[in-house]
Amino acid sequence: MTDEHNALLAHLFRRAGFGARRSDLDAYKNRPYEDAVEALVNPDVRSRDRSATMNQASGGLTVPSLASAQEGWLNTMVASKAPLFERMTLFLSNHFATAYDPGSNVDVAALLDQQATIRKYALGSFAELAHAMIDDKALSCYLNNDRNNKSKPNENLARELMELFLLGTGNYTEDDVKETARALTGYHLVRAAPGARPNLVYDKSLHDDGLKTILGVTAAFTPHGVVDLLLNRPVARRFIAGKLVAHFVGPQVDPALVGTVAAAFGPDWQLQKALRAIFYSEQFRNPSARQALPKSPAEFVVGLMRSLGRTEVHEGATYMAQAGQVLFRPPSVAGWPTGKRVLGPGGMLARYNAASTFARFHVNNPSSTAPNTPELTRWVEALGMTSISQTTIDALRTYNDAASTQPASVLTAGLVTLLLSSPDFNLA
Amino acid sequence: MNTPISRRSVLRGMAIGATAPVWVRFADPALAAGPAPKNAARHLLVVFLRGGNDSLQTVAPMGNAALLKLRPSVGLRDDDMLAMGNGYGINKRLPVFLDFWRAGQLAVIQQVGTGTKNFSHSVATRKWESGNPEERYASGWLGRYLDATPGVGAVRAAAFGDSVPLSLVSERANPLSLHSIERFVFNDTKLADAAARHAALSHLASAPAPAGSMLEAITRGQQELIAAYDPLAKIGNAKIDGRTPTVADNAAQLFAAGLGTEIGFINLGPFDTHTDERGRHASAITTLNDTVKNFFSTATKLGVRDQSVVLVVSEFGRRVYENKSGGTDHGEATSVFALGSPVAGGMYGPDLDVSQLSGGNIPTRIDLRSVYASVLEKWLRANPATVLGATFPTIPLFR
Repeated sequence: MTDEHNALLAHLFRRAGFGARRSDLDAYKNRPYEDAVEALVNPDVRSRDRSATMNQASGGLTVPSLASAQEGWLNTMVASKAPLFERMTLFLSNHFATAYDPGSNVDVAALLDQQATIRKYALGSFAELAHAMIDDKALSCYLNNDRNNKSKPNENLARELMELFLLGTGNYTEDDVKETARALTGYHLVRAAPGARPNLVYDKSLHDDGLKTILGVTAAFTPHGVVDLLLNRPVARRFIAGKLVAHFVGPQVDPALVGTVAAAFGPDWQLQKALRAIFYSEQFRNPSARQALPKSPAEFVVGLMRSLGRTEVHEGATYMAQAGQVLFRPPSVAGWPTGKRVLGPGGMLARYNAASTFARFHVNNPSSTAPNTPELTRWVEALGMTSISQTTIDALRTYNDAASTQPASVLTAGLVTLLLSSPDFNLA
Repeated sequence: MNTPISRRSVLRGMAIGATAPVWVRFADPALAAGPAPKNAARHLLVVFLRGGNDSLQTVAPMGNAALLKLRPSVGLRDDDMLAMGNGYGINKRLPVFLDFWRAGQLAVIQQVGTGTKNFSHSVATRKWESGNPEERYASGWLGRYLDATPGVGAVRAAAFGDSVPLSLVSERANPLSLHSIERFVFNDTKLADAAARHAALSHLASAPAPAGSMLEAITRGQQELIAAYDPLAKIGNAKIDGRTPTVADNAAQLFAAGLGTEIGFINLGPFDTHTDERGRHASAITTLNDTVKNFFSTATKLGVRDQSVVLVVSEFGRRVYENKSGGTDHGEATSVFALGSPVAGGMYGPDLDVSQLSGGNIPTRIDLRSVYASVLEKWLRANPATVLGATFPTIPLFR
């Protein structure tokens, strides 16, 4: 295995997953990079199904609390053998951002149903997912489409459908929003029996079946008709491709790559094909793309739990929230904050405390599979850090000198805490 | 520098495409407090009402039949309001606003906006927080203020919440984001090697980083964490008037702590009242009342009341007519509120005229950058043109 092959694999596992573990790198050390990409974009069906079933709790008799749903999701990400599938579930949950709001019927059961739907299409058809989201109770209630009345339309979903979900700003007018809101009328909540959880139902008699003019096209658009109209605008493919490129490659989005990825979707909008185009691209493989993105709070927490083999999901979810990412509760329909906004002193404090907590869990558990000695090189490998900076090495040496009288377990916990807090580990 | 102009003329001059008359009314000047200290530190607490606050549910004309006709189930009736004595009323859930109004320390700036007809939360929020309707900046208006002015101390700005708001995103300064002072603690302080660990964290944060890189954002975040840590630990978490300090109390505590804290930032909400507005807005506006009350109570106790101004903003107002869900959809202009003894209390900007709506919305008559320019020049004593990229007429909001 050359250093470059190793570094490229680590880059792939950081971006298309939650960080590179020793076992990930070992599995592909004598195989071409393309094999690793194919395994990520075509995950083993059984491992995928297992992770999906963990969240399909709402069909059962009991609905978990928000906290246990959050912990269940975190656990799924930590345990998953299909990391790209989990990254896409997270990406799409941010794209169609929906926040817990039981007062508006966005309850845990509705959120788990939505997540099951997102998982169904996470590597599949974005177009089918977009259609499913229009019928989704959690999203509809979050954006008030359950109360979009034909005599007085509520524009909330219509606006976000154009701005955030399918087209992007600048690609529609305020009149288009008003007309799209009319096209989206017809949904309301219905209880099968008194006291039962209400379901979202489309009732044709509540739909405004008049002509609407949207993006210059006049027709009696239905909800799914307007979704098709928007999906068929060429700008829609470029918009979604641009978001994927920014997320997986980096903030300096190359228009040529966006064009390639937009074309790669194909007529049936396959996310898997778009992702393959990204990971095969020269722009992704170029060393300049490496460590150019910060890890999100989820990538940081899930990554450290996967590397250390820890399953304390309650603590993990708590620190992830303190670092700026509350599962099932993005602060707005625009999704979770990113970049500088989660890297301030408060965010870095939460990350440090997560590192210190999980390092302590590790050294207190002798059955852990990760190393149990304060040996820097072994830990750098175990945490999937193919390289570390001279400053980090110097800082660890300073720590080692100052704490040298401490027992090995204390030194191991300190070393792991500091490695996880290093800028190197916090970059993807 | 901006040319100071009299209140009346400046408001007429700055109106955006206004044909309607623009005027100002004042609270009784006899009730006004004395001028703010000339050279003491000055503090600004921004309270951002997330989701689009319905300004007509906050301070609204009383007995306005034309308005109530447009919002029959949502609109505030006279008995929902506290009369201000000028034909306007304050939502009865906001009694602290009436106290400030009576003291001549509440400025109500009406019909403030970006002029945009794009009513999306994220677009409007970016325009308000960047302080630039063209969204030309990746930084916030207060972030650029921090960049443009020399500061002293460990914590020039502090935002309460999970992350740094765009308003405070800056090129060089690194505002503190924290949930509360109580929770701003390392969890390993009792360990034998804690000092060695924290010294090494400082060392990690010294990694050289290219300007503007994400590596730089990470190391700066760590450096500011280390700089702020001990001073915040010193403030501690003792009860104030028998209650656990809220973030509003924390803001006053930081202002009084001698850390050079100029800016505080608190998010409240959600104010996105598309449905059941009466109940939802009432509970949301109560959090504003508590925030203002607690902040000034602790600021008074700690001796920084006269050096503090609270600015209440939101990304947009709401549609004047209600929707079928007992709520209101996204609108255009909204009211901005400034409170504190340095504030020249009164009504600024034009009164609502329901016959002069723009697509059912309150039109933008005052550019939000005029509000920011006034705060920057008259309160924070910075050059507004440096921060806002151009000169805007100021409003005499301060004594």
